[in-house]
Amino acid sequence: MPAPRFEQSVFINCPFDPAYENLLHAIVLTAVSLGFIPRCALESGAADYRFPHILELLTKSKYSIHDLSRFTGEGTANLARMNMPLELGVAIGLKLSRKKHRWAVMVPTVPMDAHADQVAYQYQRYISDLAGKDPLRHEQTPESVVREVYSWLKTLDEVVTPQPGGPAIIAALPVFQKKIADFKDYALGKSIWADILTAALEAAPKVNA
Amino acid sequence: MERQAKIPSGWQKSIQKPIFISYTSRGRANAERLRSALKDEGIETWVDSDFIEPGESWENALQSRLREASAVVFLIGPDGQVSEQQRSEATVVFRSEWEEQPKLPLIPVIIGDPELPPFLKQIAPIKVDDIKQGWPEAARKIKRTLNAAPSVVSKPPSSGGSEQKARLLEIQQFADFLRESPAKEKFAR
Repeated sequence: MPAPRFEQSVFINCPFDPAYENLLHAIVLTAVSLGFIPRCALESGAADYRFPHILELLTKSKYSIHDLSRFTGEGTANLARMNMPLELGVAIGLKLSRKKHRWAVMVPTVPMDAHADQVAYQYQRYISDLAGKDPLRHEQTPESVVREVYSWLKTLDEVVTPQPGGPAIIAALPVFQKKIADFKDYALGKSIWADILTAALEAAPKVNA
Repeated sequence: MERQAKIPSGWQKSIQKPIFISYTSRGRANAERLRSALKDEGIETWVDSDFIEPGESWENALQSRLREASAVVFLIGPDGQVSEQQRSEATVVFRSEWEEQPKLPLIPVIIGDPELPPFLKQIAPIKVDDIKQGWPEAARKIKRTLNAAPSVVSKPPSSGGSEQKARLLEIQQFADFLRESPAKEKFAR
């Protein structure tokens, strides 16, 4: 098996916590439905997501999606997760150095908790250097993530033509989740990236031949 | 390529509404020629610089303006290049389709015979062969398109779902490869 084609590979840089899992799945199903190969650190199956691995995946992907949902401090030490902005920086560097890389940033637009006000535009403060580059904005729901990722991927040169409609992808989400759960049960509770890809392939709405 | 006219559901004649023109920086002069020709046909147009204030989110501005638009014209030059800005504008247009009904017609206006980007391939383009004389005719064609709303959306290429099928097969092969390969080999540098 040759490596996935660079032009069709989309690196996903997002949180891997349980609260984000459904949103990650929404990205994966949308990408697969439009003919792209989702790549992410979970591919390794290893517990440690070592940075060299991430760099390799990024450099082998023409496209990348970076979700900056976890921008607030967490835990008793009130620390923010910096891995995602770091990887976004690598993607921007790739774009600057070889021009072929394209990236998109996603941010949430609804409060993550009762104390977060004006979240809709908070990204303008926590990553003000991106001023002028409007991010994809989702409402932390799988449906809104499909909407944003679909609207972006559809403009890219490697999107399949014709492609299934966005509503069809949303309609396929429950089937996709069920298949993932079945695979996970079969793997004794372990979530395996190859299984997620296979579940996405099976659930993706097919364009009539 | 086989084409078949299909009227977007819920389509209403709305030629009084402006058209948004998306163009590359290199195509600015041609965009102005097209605007002038459309004005002669009584059609108002917008381009990005018309409504985006300094410091304003252009995406918010465009999204709200698209609610008032009757169509979006993508001006594509002879090289077929689509700028980052045009892709971003297309993203906004596609996002608006989730909220707005009927969908905004997309009209590719091409200069010469470029290959269209995939997001415009399924739409019959209006061709301009003469960039000095061809704009009035292009404007008339746009007007006819908006009046009759035919041929704006054409039948998908006859390849049907074969391209998607081939891609899904590739992804399946990759998933199988991941399953069968030890982790250390997957990331050998």
